[in-house]
Amino acid sequence: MNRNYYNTLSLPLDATPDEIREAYYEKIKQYHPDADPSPEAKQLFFLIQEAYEELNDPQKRMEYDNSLDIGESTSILSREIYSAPSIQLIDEEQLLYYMIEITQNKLGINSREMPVCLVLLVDRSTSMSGERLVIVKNGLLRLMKQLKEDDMVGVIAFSDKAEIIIPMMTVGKARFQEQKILSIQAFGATEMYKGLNCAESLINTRDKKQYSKKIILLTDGHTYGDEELCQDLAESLGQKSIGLYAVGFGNEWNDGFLDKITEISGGVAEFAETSEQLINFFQEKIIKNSGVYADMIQMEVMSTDHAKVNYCFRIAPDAAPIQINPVVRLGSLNDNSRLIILFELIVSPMRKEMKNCKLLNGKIIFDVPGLEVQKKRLFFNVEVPVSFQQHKQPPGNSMINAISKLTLYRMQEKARQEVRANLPKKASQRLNQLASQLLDQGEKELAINIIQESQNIQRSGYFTKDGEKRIKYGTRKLLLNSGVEREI
Amino acid sequence: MIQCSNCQEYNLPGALFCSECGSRLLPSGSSKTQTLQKTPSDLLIPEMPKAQLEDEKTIPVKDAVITLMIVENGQVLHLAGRSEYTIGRISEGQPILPDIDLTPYGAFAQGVSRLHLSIKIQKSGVFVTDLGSSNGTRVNAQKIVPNVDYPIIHGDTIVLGKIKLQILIHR
Repeated sequence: MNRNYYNTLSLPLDATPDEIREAYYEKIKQYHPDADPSPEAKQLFFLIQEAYEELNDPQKRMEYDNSLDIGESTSILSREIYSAPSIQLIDEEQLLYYMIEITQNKLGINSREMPVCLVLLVDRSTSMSGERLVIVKNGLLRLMKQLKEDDMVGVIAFSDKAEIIIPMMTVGKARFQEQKILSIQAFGATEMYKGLNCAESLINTRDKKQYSKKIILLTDGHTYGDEELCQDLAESLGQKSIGLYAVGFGNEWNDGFLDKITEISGGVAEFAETSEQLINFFQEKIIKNSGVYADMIQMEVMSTDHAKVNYCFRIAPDAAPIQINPVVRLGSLNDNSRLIILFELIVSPMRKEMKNCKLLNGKIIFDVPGLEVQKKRLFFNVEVPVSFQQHKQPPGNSMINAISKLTLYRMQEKARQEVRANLPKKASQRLNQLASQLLDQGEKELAINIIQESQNIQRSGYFTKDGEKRIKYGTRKLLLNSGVEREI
Repeated sequence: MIQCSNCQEYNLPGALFCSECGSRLLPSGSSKTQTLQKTPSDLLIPEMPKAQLEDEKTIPVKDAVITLMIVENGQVLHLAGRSEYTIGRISEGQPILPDIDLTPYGAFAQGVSRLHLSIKIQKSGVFVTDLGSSNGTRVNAQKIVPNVDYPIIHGDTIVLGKIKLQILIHR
């Protein structure tokens, strides 16, 4: 990190005096000699004081700003799309869809090739024995061939204990240790926290910031009793910008839980049944992920009195629902990807006439590697005019596409809820409707899966375990392949 | 509320796809204009100019004739000669009576308030205002905000409580 006062305090160029003060107090707490006795902390501590002195005084700050070489063009492009240009003046609820898209400005200062630092966390509990472990091993070996010599990698196998198979080292060196991967045996129960804890320590042995850090959890099971610990750990990973990703095998793994912990850190969970799917996952999430142009992306969302966020979904680069916390971590973006987020807003009934309505506001904060002042902020403000008439023209294709796929994803969510609530008839009916829609759109394979599950539910009242996950992740993938990315 | 043409479920205004069956929702407000039935009905003035179903943009206020058609049975009420009418339900012992009484059409059972809606005819157009009714008023299926003047056009549907009317504006 270069010796720039804004970067020292992790502030964007347009930080307000209040924000500067807040950042200062936070950083002092962090690097105070009592809190951190290391010599690096001491250096930073003095730098923080210096930075605050310069930036807190408006005159000094102005002079400092002028001395910086901020001649960069915008590195990020952003776009907003609304489902309608106005909302109606009505005394009942109505919906409005709002979509944000962030892409790379090809003409600006851009991405940095960031080598990856990976920890591969392999579940080696008894249930993984046989085909599953073979698929994982093959996938890992293939991955090692595709990584670059200078990337860093570590491998851990865990069950109710964690064992470091390959300590953190360059891929170049690790390639000589492949035998160790092949000799991983399956035994023991599953205690995920033990594995995650070990992975966290291992990845922290490389503390330089110029790596893109990821922990990939490969598992087929549930963990018991340590869910909260895992969540807290995921939170701390997120804060350090370490992405936690998960691949679930078979039908026993707790998808809700894995979704949750990966989401906290800006990663994603996926379902894999074949070697090909695992290799594809590695390809998409790791190999293609060089050249980061936006890092540590965070989004803060604030509702207004007039509307609330009913649903929020990330469409790209990974399709997954987003919990508005109100802070959301969204990972990073590389040269080949863009960030697309879709909000479904429920506007409250109106009790009096108004010309404009504020529905939502927030900001997206991220680091741009390579810029002199690293932090950048994008504010968004959803405010729409109110009209008597319903706007007749439908929105553009990209919006329609996104909402269409999202509707299908939520239909399967509802069907799953209905099964849990012991309403097999309703669930079955809904799945049939979902299947009709998918057939209309040419998604034959997924539709057939769904029809089979629908019949199974009518008979037994339950999903087959495989089936439930296939449908959930299958409909998610639709969003990813919806063509929204390309169209926009 | 928007009704799905595929599964008949209701969706919130602004929805693009039915949340029940996933079908695309077609934009609402495409009600067809009903032809007038020439039945003797409540005329407020003895002679009525010929019914002309035309563009209402250039209505001179004085000559405007509003016809309310009760959708359920096709009966019509003609309004002419005034620039403002109140619609509601006459009930005993009331100080203010509405100009148009919907009691003969089942107003009480259908949730029509005593002073439910006002229709104003101005140079700029025709407006309806919900007067703070208990069950509300819907214009083309959307519930309007009380005490706000909403512009309406020929062919719009207005629902008072549960009574559905279609408004026809003639020059």
